[in-house]
Amino acid sequence: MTPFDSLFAAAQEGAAWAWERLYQDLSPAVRGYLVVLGAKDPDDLLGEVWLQVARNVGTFSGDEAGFRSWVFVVAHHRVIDERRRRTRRPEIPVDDSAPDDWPGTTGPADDEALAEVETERVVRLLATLTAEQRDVLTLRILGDLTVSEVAAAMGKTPEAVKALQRRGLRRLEKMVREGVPL
Amino acid sequence: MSSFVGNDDEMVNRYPNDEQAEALIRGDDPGEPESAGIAGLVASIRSLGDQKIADKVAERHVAMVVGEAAVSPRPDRDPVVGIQRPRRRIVLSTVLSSLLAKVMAATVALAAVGSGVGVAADASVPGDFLHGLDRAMEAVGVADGGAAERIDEARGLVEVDLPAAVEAAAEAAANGETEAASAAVTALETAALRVGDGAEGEQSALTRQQVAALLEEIAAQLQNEDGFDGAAIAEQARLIRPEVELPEPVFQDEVPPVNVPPDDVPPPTPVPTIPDEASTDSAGAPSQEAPTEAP
Repeated sequence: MTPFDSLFAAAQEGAAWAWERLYQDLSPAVRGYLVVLGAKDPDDLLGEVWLQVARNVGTFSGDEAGFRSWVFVVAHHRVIDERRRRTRRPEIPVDDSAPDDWPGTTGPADDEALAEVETERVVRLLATLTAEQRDVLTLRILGDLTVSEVAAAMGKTPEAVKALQRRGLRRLEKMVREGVPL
Repeated sequence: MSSFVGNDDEMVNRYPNDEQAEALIRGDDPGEPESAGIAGLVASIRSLGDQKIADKVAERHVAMVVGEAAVSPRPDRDPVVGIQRPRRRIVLSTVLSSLLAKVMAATVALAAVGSGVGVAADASVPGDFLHGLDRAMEAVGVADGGAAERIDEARGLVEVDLPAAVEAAAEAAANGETEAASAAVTALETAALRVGDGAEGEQSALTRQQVAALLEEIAAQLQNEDGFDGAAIAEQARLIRPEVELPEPVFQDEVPPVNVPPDDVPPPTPVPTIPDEASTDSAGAPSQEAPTEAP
């Protein structure tokens, strides 16, 4: 039995320490994924992801990498649900003078302002990709999912996923080459 | 910013190829002259996953998760024992047939995910969706053979795609061969249509509970020795997201619509008659003939 097996078995038994460990291990990456994909309230959505994971914890079997992938697949579907809701109910901009309505640009100026500025720049660059290119790159980079796992999560072939990540990276490379600041 | 979303530059810039892309995603520097900038950007994306979660947020989430896990289904409790029913072949309705491709696509995707991440095993507790699904499917006698695979598919889909899960359940029920199973299919079809295919609220707790309750009711009806009340479950299916307007369902066999006449049957037309003075009152309505008294 691996350390993860023991940890996960404890989580299945409802041990708070085990859940805290799982949460602390994965949540920063999952939250980053949600931020990059434009979640309106990434903290709330992160909570929903973990609730769903907890709800189905008895049904999962697999290793640590599998668990990580599973959590990201849950997050991916939550993001898609949110996109649908926002598409059906587009929000009316409150401040027309805002330069952009990129997701994640409404953070307060606080001690983490510099980090937020950096995050905002990355989000802006990724927002220039198609949704599918962005999904593929973020699932691969932040989620550490394999090409096959991303293909399964998105209902595509591995070849299609490779093409999406190739084109996405090319577009990003072009922007970097042309001097878009990071 | 929109200026960057233009024509695809694949024709003019061949970097990176698949191998170079994999190296970039892994965090390796491919060592190409072009790679410096994009490698830095990939590192910046990755760094978004290093930002600490606020303590208060983490505490709140962990508390919620522990509470949820305490009542979540586990493989080691509440085994479900089903009953077997005599079988009679029924035919998939047009609704199910049209949805089958989508269900199968989702199923294939889920199975593929499962190969890498592990998927659902069977476990359910009273009150949740899976428990209702278990009981309903086993009650219609389809918890074996190929239908069991369909049930597993529905279990796997339930948290990621509720509509597809309902459709898969209906498909499994369609493999049952009792008239009651036919009624169950009809109710599940209605539920599938009401749950929708992506509408807001489809994943809501209320919808999930309603579907779970429907499946529980189907299971209970199927095990009722006094007979199966198809009208009752049809009505319950209609209560799922009642704001969704649907055409009236086409019922199979003996299961009648509930309080609604079929669309294709015109209402009865009154036949004009000539009033008979001897047998009508002053308003023209038929009147009972008065008994004659004996002289």
